[in-house]
Amino acid sequence: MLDLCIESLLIGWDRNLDYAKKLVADLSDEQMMLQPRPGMNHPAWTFSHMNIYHEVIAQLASGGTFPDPREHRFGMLSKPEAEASLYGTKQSIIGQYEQGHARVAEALRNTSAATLERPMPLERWKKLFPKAGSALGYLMLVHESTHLGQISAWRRVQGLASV
Amino acid sequence: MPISQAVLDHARVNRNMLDMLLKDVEDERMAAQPAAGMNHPAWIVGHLAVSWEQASRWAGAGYRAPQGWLAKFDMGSRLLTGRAEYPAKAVLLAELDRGYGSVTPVIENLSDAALADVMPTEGFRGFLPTVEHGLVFGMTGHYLYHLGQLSAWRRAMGLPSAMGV
Repeated sequence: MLDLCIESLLIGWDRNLDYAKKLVADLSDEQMMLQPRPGMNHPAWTFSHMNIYHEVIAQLASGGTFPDPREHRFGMLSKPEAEASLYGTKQSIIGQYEQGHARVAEALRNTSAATLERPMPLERWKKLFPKAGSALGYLMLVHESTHLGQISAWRRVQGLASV
Repeated sequence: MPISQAVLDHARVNRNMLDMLLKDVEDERMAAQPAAGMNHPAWIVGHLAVSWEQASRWAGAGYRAPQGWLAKFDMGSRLLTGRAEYPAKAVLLAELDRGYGSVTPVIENLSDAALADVMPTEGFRGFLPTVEHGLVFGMTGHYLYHLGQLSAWRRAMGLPSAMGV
């Protein structure tokens, strides 16, 4: 049963990686920073934000602990900034994204039922996700896919083609 | 139950997210397009509804979208901006729920062998090789990419974030 659950999660996870690469394939470093309307997340922030959760997911799947991602400088309390040096180059941001995806997939393939059944290590998440494994579906499939969809719509505002 | 419970749970959670994203969007703004080419909520909800027909066919379920909806909402359909071109918000959401309610009980009971069947839609086989790949993607990535588009549409319309980020 565990193998089947992991397989289902990784199907969605791999699709996200493919989609993400297509969404940014034709973007320049400058375009990664564009915020066409107030409040719209730009790709540099969106990828930096998604990247901080890769370590969280890997730790959940491998028995470790992690600091609350909300407090990270690209966490949910942060906003997209206009200063490009905060984020780095597109190559660096996307390189981290790809490495993070691979690290999560490896952690999932090596996890165990006992690791996923242990209590959620982050106090703030315990009510919503009582077990370490309870958060995986949300973090891997809901959270990341929604942000990729934001980039899809961001592309349309720029007049860029659908991918 | 062979398909991940997490995936099925999220198919339900996604519907709640959609409600959050649309709760303050009045019917008359459902086809508003703040920038050319942006998918608007009427198209997105209709598209998600007809996606259940696709899942239904893959899963061997009986759900079919209303007549004319595939032409209006399927992948590659032309986005129209006149509000009268699309059904009412309540009708769109009710059809989405009808698809979900018809198809997910069938998916829950699919056997390993049925899930491992080759993807029936030839054009998808390259990236979704099996029925399971198609169903997981349909209930998670595909659905949520469109909710993300809706989230960005809200910002472009000057509406506040509905989900915090």
